[in-house]
Amino acid sequence: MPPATVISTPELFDEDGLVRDFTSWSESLAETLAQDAGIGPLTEAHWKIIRAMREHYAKLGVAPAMHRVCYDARIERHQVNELFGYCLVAWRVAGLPNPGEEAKSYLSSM
Amino acid sequence: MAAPDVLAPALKQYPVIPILQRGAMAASKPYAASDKMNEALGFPGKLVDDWQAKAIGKMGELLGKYRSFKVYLDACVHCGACTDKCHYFLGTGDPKNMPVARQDLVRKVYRRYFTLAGKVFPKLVGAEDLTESVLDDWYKYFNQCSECRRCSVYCPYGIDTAEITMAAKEIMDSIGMGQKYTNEIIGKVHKLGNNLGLPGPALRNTLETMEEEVKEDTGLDVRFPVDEQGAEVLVVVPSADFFAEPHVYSLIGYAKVFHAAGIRWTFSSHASEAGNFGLFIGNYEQMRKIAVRVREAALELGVKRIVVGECGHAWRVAYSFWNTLIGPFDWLDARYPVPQHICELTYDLIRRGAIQFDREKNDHRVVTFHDSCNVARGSGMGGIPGGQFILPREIIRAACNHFHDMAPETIRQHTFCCGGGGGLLTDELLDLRVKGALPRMEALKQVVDAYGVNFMAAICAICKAQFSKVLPYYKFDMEMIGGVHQLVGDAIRLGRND
Repeated sequence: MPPATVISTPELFDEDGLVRDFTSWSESLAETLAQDAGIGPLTEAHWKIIRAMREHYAKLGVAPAMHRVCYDARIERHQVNELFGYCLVAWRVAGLPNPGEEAKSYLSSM
Repeated sequence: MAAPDVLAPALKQYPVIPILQRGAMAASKPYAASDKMNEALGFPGKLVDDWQAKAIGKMGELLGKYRSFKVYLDACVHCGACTDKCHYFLGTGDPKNMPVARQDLVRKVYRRYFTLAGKVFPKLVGAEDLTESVLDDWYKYFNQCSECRRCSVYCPYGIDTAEITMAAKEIMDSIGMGQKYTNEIIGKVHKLGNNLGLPGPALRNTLETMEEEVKEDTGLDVRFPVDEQGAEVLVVVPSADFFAEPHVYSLIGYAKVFHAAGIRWTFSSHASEAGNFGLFIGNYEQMRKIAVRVREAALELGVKRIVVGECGHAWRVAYSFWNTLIGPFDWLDARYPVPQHICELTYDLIRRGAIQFDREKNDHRVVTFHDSCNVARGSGMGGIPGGQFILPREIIRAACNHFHDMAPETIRQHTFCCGGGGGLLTDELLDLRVKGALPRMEALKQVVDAYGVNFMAAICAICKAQFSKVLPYYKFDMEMIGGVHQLVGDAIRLGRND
């Protein structure tokens, strides 16, 4: 089943349940998405990763490698998994648009 | 985006032939490609009106073009040797995943329209019309074959099931039944030079980080050059190596090898992808178009060697197809293999004493090696029989003190697919992928229990991504999977040529 938020506001999401528009994301949406994913409420450690991902995306306009995001923000890479499960969950909560099939399959497995 | 129910079968001590479960995987199918994705590759956007006539016409065209396809359809005597050799059958119990049964979905249509007996008395010879339900079965079950060719090893006639799967996929694409995962990715590589859709500036940015990171780690200026004119070697890698863990660690390993050996090398932003999904959909033209970028980049940069990174199907395409796709290669240095696998390059340097290792740096690891199907059954290495099995293992032994192979019937040419190859590495197929990994997980469990193996090395991006995802379903740590050059990178002695 798609998460509750996707069902209630389908216009915000694409067919993969990722936010369509980078700018339509808000912190409260992130909280709701995190809850849907079973990882809420978000802590400061979560926010640090979310902010780093969004900054990266805003700067380069493409799918940032998590390796790079973590390196720049001085976050231990394994923390992303501990906090979000798979990287694709962090991606969804951070409101980054669909990175495409190839990137999605990697994000979903790391 | 409904998440599929994912159920991992229990691991058994010895593999047993499962009890048949008719229709167990009848609901498993990948998302369809959008009109736009199909049209970008020159395929019809959606199912064409006269799809039956078109499909049969395409089958006729392929039968005329590929003699092997006709021979494989004619030669099968239904002996059953292949039935229990497929990881998807072993993991799902669905009889349509027996290789012979899956092939028969095409064979029965072939008999109906292309053999006299099938035209005259179809029921007697198992011939059947190409109906909507047959086509539906094609879409489901040919997307439950990873084209790994394990069944072919056991076929007394040498029937290559993968070629039949590829033909079915090619026919489906030609009538507008493309699969989203593969077709979206092929569109991207045509446009941007890699499957990820990573443009040049982002690629450079990523590689700069690698340089900073390795500098921080080693204090040395190990370079990750892009588009460097006059480099001796062009390296093409699966784009996962730029993007995901554990893949990036192998990328760091390659760079350290070049650094230690003092070889000038470069990536290309025009051809920043070794992967070639044209193979998965059986489409020679797509495969050629993707490969051409590598030729163009190599000529433009003036390199003398092309080296392929850790990517299973890329190596098969390079080893078996590049010569006719983008050859001849008379402008490359003939003293080296053309093309050259990164394992061939590293192995050669080890043998010549040009690189050395501090093996104890990998002492926290007890390593096993997973042979990737396209390397194992579709290529060679080092110009020696079985080189594709020997070289990676020799590199691991040079870089690690603790190595143990898995059971002989599950490695080398008998290797089991990771369960995610052939264009199936997409989440809507996760249940299939988890079940298909069962035979490999059982073999892994044996060496984990017997020797305390905690690291499975592979030389394929799909294997790495697939295992990171499915290992936790079998209660293994996702970080157990990594690359051969990850082990190399962690133990290689640096310090020269910086």
